[in-house]
Amino acid sequence: MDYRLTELLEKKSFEELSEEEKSFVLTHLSETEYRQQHQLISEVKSDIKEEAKLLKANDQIRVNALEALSLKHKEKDAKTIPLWLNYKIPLWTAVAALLLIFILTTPLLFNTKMSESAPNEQLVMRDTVYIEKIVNDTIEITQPADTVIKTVYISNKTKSTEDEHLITPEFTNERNDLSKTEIDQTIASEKSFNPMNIGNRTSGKSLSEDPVGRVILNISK
Amino acid sequence: MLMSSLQKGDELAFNILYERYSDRILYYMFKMLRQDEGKAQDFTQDVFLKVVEYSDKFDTNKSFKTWIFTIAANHCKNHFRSNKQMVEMNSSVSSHLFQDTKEDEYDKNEFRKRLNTEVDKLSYTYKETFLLRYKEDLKLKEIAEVMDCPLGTIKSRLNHINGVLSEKLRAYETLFNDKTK
Repeated sequence: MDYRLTELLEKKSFEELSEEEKSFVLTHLSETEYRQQHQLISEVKSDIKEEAKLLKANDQIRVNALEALSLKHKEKDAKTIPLWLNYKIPLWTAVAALLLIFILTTPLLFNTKMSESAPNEQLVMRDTVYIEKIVNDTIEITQPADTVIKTVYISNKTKSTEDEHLITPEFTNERNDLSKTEIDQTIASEKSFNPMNIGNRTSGKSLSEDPVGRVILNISK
Repeated sequence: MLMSSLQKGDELAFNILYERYSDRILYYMFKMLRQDEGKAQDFTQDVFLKVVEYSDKFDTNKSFKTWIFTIAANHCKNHFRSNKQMVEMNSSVSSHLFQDTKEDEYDKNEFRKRLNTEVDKLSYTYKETFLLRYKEDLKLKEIAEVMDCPLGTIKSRLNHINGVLSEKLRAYETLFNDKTK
């Protein structure tokens, strides 16, 4: 079947056809067949349109689609790049800016000397120092006004006891035949050498010749 | 215009488009899915979710009607492909021969039943062409765009459909003729 015939069957009734179209149609179909086929197509069209009216889309479809629409645009807004990030600059400017930042921050990085310190080094031994401070509180003793303070003086027995333990040199006859009295008599008679009178003496004898000196120096006769 | 607004997230624009096309898409799905209304509702929802999802990709200089029917047609095609029902559907046109019975009188419901039977017997692509042409009144060029095939193929398909329907519904032709007289 020629498409032109189909097109005419769809669009025009036999009466609406021009003379040229009628002669074309009649080469394929009789007038009755054309009328019947045209009518059939019209009926089919109207019938499916009537049937379509019976169907209604579920309202939940609209709700779900609207939900998807709002969700999509919320996500879209969240993904929107800030205006300042959207601003385009030439590549050389970006490189220069990065270089400048690097140059300016490098000395600061070296000064920190972070690399020199060992990772586990303990930099601070103790951060809290406790200082012991003794605070002597003043003790006030309050006594009634009529209190009589009696002072009792007691002899210091402990000192005398200490004196008893002092070692006093003792002259004994074990080292010399001379007694203490004899030494005193010798010094009194000025027969012996008095060491304390060295400056006044113009002449003298050696200590070994002196009897007292001999006793002190423990020189035998 | 409406799609430009929809691209910006305008819900009003979506509602207008939904009012215009929801029932048409539903019917298209209903017929393509062998009159399974539940499935047709689900598929209609899928189509509108795709409209929302891909609204940014729509070229506002083009026809929205063609675009939405392309989405619907592809969605349906993918469903049949995944379920391997295309072969069955395509073979149905030759496997079923209509038992011609003389009708005593014109009955609209009976005619509809018969028409649906005959349309269901058409192969997938013929049925699609039939619906886009006779229900949606799409131009041949638009049908070719939706179905992604040459214009000549669409003309050929329409010739075939008219031939089959006039043959299978011949009994009704005479009744229409009587009715018009």
